Amino acid sequence: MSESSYTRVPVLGRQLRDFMFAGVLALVIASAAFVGVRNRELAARQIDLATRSADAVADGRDALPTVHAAIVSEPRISTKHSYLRRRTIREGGKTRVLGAEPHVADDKLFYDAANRAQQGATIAEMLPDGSGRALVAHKAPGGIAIAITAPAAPAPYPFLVFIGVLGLGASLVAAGALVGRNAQRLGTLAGIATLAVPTLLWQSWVAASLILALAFVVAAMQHIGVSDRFARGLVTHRVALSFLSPAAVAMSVLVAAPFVIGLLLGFYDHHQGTWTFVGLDNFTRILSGNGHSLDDPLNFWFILGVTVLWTVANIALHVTVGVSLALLLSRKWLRGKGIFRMLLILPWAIPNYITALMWKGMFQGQYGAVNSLLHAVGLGDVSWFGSWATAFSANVITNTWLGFPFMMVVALGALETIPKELYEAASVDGASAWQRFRHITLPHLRPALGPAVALGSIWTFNMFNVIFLVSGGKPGDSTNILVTDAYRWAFERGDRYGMAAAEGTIIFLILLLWTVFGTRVVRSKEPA
Amino acid sequence: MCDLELSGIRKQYDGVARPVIPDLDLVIPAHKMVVLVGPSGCGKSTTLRMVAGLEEPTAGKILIDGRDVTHLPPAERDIAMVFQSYALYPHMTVFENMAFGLRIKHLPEAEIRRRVEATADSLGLRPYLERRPKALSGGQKQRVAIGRAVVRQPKVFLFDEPLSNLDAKLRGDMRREIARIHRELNATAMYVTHDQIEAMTLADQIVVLKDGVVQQIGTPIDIYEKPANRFVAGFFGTPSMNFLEADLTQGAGSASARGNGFEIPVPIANVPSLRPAAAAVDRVVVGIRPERLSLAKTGDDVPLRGEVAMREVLGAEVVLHVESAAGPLTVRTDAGAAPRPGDTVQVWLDPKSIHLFDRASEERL
Amino acid sequence: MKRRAFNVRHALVHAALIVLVAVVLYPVMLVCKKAFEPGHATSLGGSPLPEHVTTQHFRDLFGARGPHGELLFLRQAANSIIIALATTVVGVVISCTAAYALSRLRFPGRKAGLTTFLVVQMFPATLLMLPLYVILDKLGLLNSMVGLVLVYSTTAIPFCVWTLKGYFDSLPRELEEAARIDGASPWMIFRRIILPLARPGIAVTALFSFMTAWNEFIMASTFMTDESKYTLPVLIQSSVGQFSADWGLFAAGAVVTSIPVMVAFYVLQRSLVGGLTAGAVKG
Repeated sequence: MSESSYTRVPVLGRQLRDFMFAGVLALVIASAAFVGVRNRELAARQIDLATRSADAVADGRDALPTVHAAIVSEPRISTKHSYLRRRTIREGGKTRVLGAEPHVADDKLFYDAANRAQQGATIAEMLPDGSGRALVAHKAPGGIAIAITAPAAPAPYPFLVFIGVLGLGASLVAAGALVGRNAQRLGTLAGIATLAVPTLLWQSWVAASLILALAFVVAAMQHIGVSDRFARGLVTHRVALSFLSPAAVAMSVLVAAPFVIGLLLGFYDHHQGTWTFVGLDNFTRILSGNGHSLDDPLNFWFILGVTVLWTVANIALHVTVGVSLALLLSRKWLRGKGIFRMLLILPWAIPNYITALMWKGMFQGQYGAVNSLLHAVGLGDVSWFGSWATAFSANVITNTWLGFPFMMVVALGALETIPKELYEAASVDGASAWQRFRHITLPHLRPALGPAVALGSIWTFNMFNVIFLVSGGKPGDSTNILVTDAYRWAFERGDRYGMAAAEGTIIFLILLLWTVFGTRVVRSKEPA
Repeated sequence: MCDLELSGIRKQYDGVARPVIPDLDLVIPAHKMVVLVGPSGCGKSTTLRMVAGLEEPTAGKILIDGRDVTHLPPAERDIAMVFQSYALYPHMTVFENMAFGLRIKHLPEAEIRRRVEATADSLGLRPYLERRPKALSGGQKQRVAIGRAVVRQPKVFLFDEPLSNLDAKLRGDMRREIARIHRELNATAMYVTHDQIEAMTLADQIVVLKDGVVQQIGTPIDIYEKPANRFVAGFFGTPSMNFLEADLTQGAGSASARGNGFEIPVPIANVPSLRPAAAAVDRVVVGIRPERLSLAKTGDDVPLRGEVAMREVLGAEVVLHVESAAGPLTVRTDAGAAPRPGDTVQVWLDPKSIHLFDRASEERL
Repeated sequence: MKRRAFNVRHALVHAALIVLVAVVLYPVMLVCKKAFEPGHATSLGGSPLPEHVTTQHFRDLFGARGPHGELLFLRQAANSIIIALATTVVGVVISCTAAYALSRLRFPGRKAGLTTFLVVQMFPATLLMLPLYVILDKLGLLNSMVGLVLVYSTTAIPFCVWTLKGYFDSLPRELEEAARIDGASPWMIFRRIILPLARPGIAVTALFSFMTAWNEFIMASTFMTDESKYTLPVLIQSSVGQFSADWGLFAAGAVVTSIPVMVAFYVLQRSLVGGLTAGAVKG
């Protein structure tokens, strides 16, 4: 921190500038806290109201006028139709059949709640329709007491509170500026800390501590002069800043935020609608194989093995087929190269989910194309999705069909850059075809294939559509790869979002390791 | 008064130990065309770009018309530049290319039209105003690039090897064009090239650069007739100067340079830095231009004996490459009765037209 | 030296290639045939040439009606078009200035930014699917076109930034230097010089974004639950269900949906490989 950094920028201006930056951040944190709190607070209020009303009705007293409370009876056999069972509802002293004409709007809610509370459970929740209504139901003498409150809006945004607090903070900061050097930092600290006051009142401890931490950080930055340099940097690079901001904002909202949330969700368990913090439980369960043996599809390591095998097999096949075709197509004496090339990249042009479904159809049953072909050659039917090996092969065949054109095109491009004169000189020097391939063709292919293999391996590793649509993981989830497995945790095995998120994080780490180390190895095989 | 001044300019790139330009001081007087010339990598383009504002000097100041522009962006320096690759905006017509800078300054449309048309007329571009750059030839494109600079009426013109992309015949025509425009506009200009012919024909003053260091500043005649060191001497003149190693011995009031197969009396009057007491100067390099060697003796010429190794017939003149005891010699002479390869010749040297350089420091004596 | 004589080996290779191409194209021909063949087959097989031709499947496809009697296919096609267009517009508009900054401007954190965009592109969108699902659920944007466009933008923006940056890199720097000397501000240079020159690159990027969004299946299927909100890929997949599959309908849908993107693909395929490998090599 140099003396000149103080004298060059008018101190008051600098204080207010730093307060402005920190203030905006603190405001965002406080607003987030507010939104969280007000929902909580609304729920508490409404549920309390509903609870009291339900208790009142259960005791036979009247409920509050704004609350729709009643006692719903057990289901009784209808007098008119003996196979029907109906409930009756008693409210305000009058009894009627629940659900009969004329319809009352809340009847469905009462009916569902009665069914749920029948088992003896007590319900106390907000209605999921976002109206702000709470529903409480529990068993009572004579049936089930249910209370539904009127809609209520959560507390409005406290503009005045925030403006007041900002003003107070700004004056503290300015006061600090005018008093003296040490007072400046104290002023900043105090000014930003005032923004934490509302959060303390709302008992949002997380938000309060974040804002206080922010206050300390900014004051410290001021102390060592970083805040000045930062502000100057922003001004120097203001053009770049303005150009980058739309994409930067979009990326933070659309990519960074979900990514962080995905990371955090891995530490929770989601079960039937409720989230519970479980720490590293999900991760340990996944990494320890989830209590299953190594050849069971629910074991993470099994799926990882399948995924690695899947990737390696595919890339090997893609490169072999693609490069062989490229070599064939680049022969000088080949006619119709353009047409062949155009036709051979057709598989790449087709949307890959259609390819997957198409091949699934071909592997299906007796009359599927593949089995028909086997018949024609005299072999028997194969139930492609009945065993692991055949299902896996079906997947690989499909993915190879759609994947080889990419390698072929890359190889063709690389082959086109080889000057003819090299081959001619080699022939004149007496090299055989194999020698020409090894010493001229191969070294030219490697630099192009390196990045292609790196990219292709990542695409194959994550190829969701083929696995999902061709074998569908059959038999019994064993041909799943990591990404489809994570999907199933989230959307098929009972909405276990926590497990899915944890597995997603693990997949990300694997890919990160591969991107950093593996691709470097692949690409380092290029000639200098 | 629109002069250009560079003082204490230094340019160093991060991670590279040697600075491209260690310490440059240069003044370009108003209305003069100063040509920076030197081999590739000598820092001439870098200097130009720093004046343009496309690169920042590591240290030093640049003043245009007395105003310190060192840290100003190009837009605020009131300069115009003609690029080697023309840098015309491909999606705009010739008219729009020339008008672009004026439009940014929000000049009235009528004024823009007037200026552009006048400049186009003076450059012979009137019929091409509505064409796109890709419909133009190289020479026409370069004219448009020049027109774009002229139309802005800047304080300083900058030329970055503008003729390097043109073929030889066109280069000559465009050279004269540029000279004419400079005379007409009477503008201050900095011109960068590696071609010594462009330097000699266009410059009011030449600045010779090597490795970022100024070797010599002077008029074309000065540079040619009195090169400050061996590098400058060898850079200018085609074919380049002959250099012969010799030892200098001094006696009372006279000196002579002695080498393999020759001894040249050195008139002390012609070599003012040769003081009688300066006995430290011993090993020298004698420089003599090819056109100063002849096959006929005149006056006190000193002979050099050798065999013609090769003969290049240029038409009216002939260049002979002669192997002599003193080393290889290049002689430029009339085509007349020129000897053939294999012939033994006597080449005559006029002692008054030699240049002497210290062998170690390569400075002129 | 050319061999004019009939070379057996060459002829064999040509023949083998033709066979190979036929094998590769067989599935495609099968699908085309099934689109026109009457009957509701339970699998895809048989000869690639139809014995009888009918437009029944196409009529089924176009004529499917929803619960309120509206034409579903038109609705779903419109969904696909709107969502793909919106994603493209959002992607290109938001990314172009950032791509320019990353290409031309110097600022601290540029290298980190470039690496970030490259790395983000390499990771599957399916990893983010779960958190996005949870977030959209909280925001009430599930089963809505806005939500799906947001989800697609998650991958579209990094892709557009990276591709456009590669394209801007290829524009000659001298043009910008000349413009700077002419007095243009960075924004003016971007708007008046760079953008007009980058039109082909922007078109290619836009077309790729459109194709990617058009072909996207799993997220559309997960996030959209209403039939009327389906995009075409979801529709096509639903005709090949767990237990019953109408391959004729599938084939008709596949033909109709694939043709536009296949045409676009063939137009673009030369720039595809260049962009991919250049991006990967430059890092």
